[in-house]
Amino acid sequence: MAFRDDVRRIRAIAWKDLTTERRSKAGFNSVAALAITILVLFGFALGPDAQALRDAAAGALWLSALFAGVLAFNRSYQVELDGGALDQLLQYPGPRWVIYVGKLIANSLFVGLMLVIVVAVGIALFQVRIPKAWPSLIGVFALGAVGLVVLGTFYAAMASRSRAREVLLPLLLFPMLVPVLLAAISATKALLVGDIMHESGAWIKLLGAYDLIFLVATLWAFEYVIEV
Amino acid sequence: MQASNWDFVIAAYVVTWVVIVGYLAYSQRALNRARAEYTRVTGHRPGEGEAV
Amino acid sequence: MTTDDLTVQVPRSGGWAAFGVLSIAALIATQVFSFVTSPPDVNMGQLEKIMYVHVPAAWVMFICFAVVLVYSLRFLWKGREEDDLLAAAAAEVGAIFNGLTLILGMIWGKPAWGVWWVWEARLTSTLVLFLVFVGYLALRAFVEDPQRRGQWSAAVGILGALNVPIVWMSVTWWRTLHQMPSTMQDMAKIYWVGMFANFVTMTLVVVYFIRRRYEAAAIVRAAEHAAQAAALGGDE
Repeated sequence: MAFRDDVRRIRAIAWKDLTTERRSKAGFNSVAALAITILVLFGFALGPDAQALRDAAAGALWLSALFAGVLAFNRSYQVELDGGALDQLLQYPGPRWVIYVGKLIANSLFVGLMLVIVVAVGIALFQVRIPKAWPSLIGVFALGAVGLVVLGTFYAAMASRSRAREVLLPLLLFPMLVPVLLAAISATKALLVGDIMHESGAWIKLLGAYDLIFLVATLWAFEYVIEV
Repeated sequence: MQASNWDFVIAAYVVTWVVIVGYLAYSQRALNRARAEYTRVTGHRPGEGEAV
Repeated sequence: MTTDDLTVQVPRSGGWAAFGVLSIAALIATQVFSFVTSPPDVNMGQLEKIMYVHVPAAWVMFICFAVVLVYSLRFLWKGREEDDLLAAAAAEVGAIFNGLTLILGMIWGKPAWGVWWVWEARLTSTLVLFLVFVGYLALRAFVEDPQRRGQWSAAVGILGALNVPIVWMSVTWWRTLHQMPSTMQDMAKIYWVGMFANFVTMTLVVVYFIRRRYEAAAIVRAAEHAAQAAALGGDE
């Protein structure tokens, strides 16, 4: 049945992306190290006062994850580009969106794992007190990561194949991420101080809505972007 | 302080016209260059001769 | 010549130069008229005169980006290169008037609020929109192949346009939660006639700009096609 073929193709692409990543462990390790380095620099910029660091923790965490994640997105197309494999991939039968979904899955795992490390280090460096609502915080990080990965993977499909890819990806991606970042950082900030104003629920719903809207929009647009 | 507000009003209109006139000049130059290139390649002016 | 090649109709100049002169003259006329006839505002004093350029520039910017959205969709649907070139022309003109809107907003804001910038919904959304369209223009600058450039620009333009109301909503919510008051005062009715007149004339000027930028781009592409045809033909 056609749908099961699609699922099979998605798994194949996600597996391919992840195993090339695993074989070059240098990839993940350097990106994670970069995220930590950026976090440290934020610490220098905003600290050393403990309360100032706590106030800034949410923003610093998300921005560190973003700046390091940008590298991951371009690199997720690197394998195909180097070997000229993208044209081959496009020759295979099947709709284009399976390529996109496969990459989304691989990038989600990559960024998710990186986020775990960044948050762990961030809790220590920024004197973060773990709130009672920490399961909600995990939800916020998951939803925020999805937003980053959806838009990052989409724009990298173009940026990675153009000149000046290092500047083009952030230039295209960052304005589009404003709603996702605003919601994720606001929800994180609120939850970290115990959410006295009960605003985190609204931000989390907004974040979920953004993820859905951008997922649908990028799924539609991906075919136009990858085939040319 | 109503008097100093005039400075801002004047600045606003100056900026507006600098942008409009500047862009006008830029777009006219770009059009001239495009026409020159077309004439160089095809041997006739754009709009004359056969339709593409 | 393969059928994959896009072809471009060479645009005729016609009476556009006259249109340009007339639209600029009309813009000057409406500005002078509004400047001279509008009374100082109770709250803002003479500052209200800035509104006659700031607000029309913002409205005109939205028109440009609506054109980008429509013609990007059309290009993806029909594949006519002219639609891509028109979208690109509108994006460039829109970005210029977007920048102008921001600068004029700051020139108004400094004496009105005492600060050059406030993180409120309208200003912030306008700034993000500006960055989106700067990205659009940068993408076009970095991509050579016309088909690829057209499709990528269309995708970026459409998603960018989609993002604008989303950003607006997010920033409004952000401000509301922090109980920030709205900073934009409503204009009294007497100013609306002048505002609308300036909007109409500024739109005419923008139409002229878009036309000229489109013409230049279409002529360049037509020249490239002709050169390519000559090169292919000459190989026989």
